[in-house]
Amino acid sequence: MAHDLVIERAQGDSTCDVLRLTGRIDARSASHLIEECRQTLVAGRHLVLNLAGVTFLSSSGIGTLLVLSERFDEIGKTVSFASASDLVRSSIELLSLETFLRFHDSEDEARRKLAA
Amino acid sequence: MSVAVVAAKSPARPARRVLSLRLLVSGVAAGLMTCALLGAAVISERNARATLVEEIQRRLLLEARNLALTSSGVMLAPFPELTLQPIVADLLERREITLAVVLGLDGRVQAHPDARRLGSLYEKPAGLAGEPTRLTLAEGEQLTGDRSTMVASAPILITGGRRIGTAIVGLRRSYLDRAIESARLRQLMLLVALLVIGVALTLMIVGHLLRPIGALREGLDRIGRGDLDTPLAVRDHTEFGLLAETVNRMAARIKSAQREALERDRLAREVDLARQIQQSILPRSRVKFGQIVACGAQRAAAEVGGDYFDILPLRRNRVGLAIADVSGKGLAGCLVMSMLSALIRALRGTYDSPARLLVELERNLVPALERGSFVTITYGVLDPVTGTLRFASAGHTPALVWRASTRAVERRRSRSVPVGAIRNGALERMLHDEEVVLEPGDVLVQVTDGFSEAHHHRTEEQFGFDRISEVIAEHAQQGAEQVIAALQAAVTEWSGTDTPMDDETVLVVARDATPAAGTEGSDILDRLTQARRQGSRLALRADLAQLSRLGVWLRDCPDIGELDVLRAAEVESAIYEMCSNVIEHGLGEREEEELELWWVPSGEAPETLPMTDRIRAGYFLLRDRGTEFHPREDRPVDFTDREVRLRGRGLGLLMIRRIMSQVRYHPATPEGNLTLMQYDPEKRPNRTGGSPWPTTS
Repeated sequence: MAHDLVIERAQGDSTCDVLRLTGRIDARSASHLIEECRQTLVAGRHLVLNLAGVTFLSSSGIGTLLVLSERFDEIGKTVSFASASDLVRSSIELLSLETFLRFHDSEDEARRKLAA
Repeated sequence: MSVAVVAAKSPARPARRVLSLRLLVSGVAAGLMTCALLGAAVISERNARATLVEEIQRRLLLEARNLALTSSGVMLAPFPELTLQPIVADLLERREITLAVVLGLDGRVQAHPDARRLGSLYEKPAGLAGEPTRLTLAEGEQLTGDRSTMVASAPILITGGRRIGTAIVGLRRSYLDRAIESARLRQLMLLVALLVIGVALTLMIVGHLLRPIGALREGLDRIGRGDLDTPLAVRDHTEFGLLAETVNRMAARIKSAQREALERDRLAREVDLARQIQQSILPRSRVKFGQIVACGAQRAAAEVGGDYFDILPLRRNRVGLAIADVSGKGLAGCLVMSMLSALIRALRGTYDSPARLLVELERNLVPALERGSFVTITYGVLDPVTGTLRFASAGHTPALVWRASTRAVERRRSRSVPVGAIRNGALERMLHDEEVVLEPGDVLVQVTDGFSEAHHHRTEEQFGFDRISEVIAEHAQQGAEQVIAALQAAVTEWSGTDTPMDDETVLVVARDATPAAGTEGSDILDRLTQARRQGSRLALRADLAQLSRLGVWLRDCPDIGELDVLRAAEVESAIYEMCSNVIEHGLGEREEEELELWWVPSGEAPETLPMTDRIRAGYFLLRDRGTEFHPREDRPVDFTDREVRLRGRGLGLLMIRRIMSQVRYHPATPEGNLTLMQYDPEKRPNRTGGSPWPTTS
């Protein structure tokens, strides 16, 4: 399915992968996002999703972020969300889900927290 | 609160002249004693007089006998006068003896105070008569007398009893009188002395014995003046002591009864005052706002409780609705209720969010609440035009909504604690705004637990919300007042009494069954016509990719395009979710299918209304010809459940409800499925609840 989400794999480290997202996270791109994250999940590493470039987050997208968080938690790993815009944070907070997702103001901060 | 016993003062009365019992009894006793003594004295005097007379007579007779005896030996001797004359002279030397004569048998004087009478015949003094006497006179003896003299004569006898003469002795009667007088005087003095001593002793003894009467009288006077606190101090072992004890017990019982009466009066005044406060705060029973009728009623319990309800005008033609139950009763509960009313009226203009208002209410009310006291309350803001009620419930009974479309009663339970129940900010964390939309014909009922907890008069079973719902369903179409009357009648029959154990308060909001023509909420097809005529249209194929066009389209919509970035994003999100739902579930993502979307702005000229009001007055309308969507009963999505989070579903509808102020779904109209959405830019997204998923019209 065509979608409007670009996922760039950034430089991570031995324990953590970083994906930078640009575009819309919606029903069409959700499966693409999950697929990209599966590699990190299987490898058993932490994941940082940089959301600075996300322009739209639908309910499907939020659901996808929730699922990712739960799946990584199951294996004792963490998904962190970095640099989320006000628009993205607003959508999350509208549904009172911010307590279930780990947000950080920047990618570096997320990586530092994961390293600690 | 202490009760001061205010002794009632007896009214002043003129002093009554009373006789002192002590003086009376003492006087009577003294009088009787005096009479007795006088009587005894009189009798004694007579006896003494008789005795004295007899004694003197005896002595006189004895003198006569002695003279006779003395003369007896001398009479036979020659010249007896030589011997007798000195004897007679000796006798006469005694002052009381007036006469001493010795006569011979022939009656000639043998001895006489006047010697010249010797030998002459004796001439008995004239006027002598027999003298009454109790003495026994021997033969020949005589006692005679007159007014001045008493004479005794005794025969002179010789051996053999032969009489040879007579001895006569006379006594001055004045001597007798003087003796009698002297004796009488002595008796009188004795009598007086006895009288004085006797009366004094009588007064003393009687006065002492009757002393308690004075103490009793003083004590009873004090009680009569209202002094019940000073007991009678009468220590007496007679009936007076018993009487004093009885009076003291009586005074104590009077005081206790007085205190109880004052307490009853105070409680009655308190209940009356509490009831007046309660009734003064409650609004008039029925208010009409356009198509909405709001109606409330209360039946007070015998012991006044703290139930409250109110119907308040708000700005922008909204209506505030409140119903509450204060945990305390009596005057304390009523005072909290009055504070509650004042706070709501003060805060209603500041807080559009009912949850925020109640949180602020708690902050102001808690300092005045006793520990352990709390208030259950539901407060809501009603838009009479759209029928939307935004409300928050802090531990209050469920809101009951009868739906004309389904003829069923929905329950909206409170998910929060009461105001003041947990004072650590729990209310702020737990309480959120919810929404319910009253469609034409719908009825909302809110009661206090006086209804639901009314006990059956025999089985003690509670009336319960199932029965309340049945009554509402039976009478909803008859109007708000009829619903109230039916509920009250049902509970009265259930409990078997007109006087409830707890206040029974009910608030009913009913929307007219027939929408007014030309108003918002009228026929959806009219809306579609309006949309086609003056709305901004977006046609989409049933392809999720098409939804990326929404952002651009919204920016070009009049008024919507003036929203800030975040609000514009909210609107786009909600419209996206609604459209994606239709595309995925209604149209199965069949790209040949189409859906239409309109934004219909307010009919008012832009310069006459602020942007937010214009947007609020406008609406989105979505039309499709896909599968009819029948929304599930409103159930919250519990994201604390990990399984729910793993599924990641249910978020779209939730997002729509929290963003849009109103969503109404009209499936299967002649023009297809129509969904109407309204957005209020000033309404903050509801983080819990939100607009219910639309019911079918």
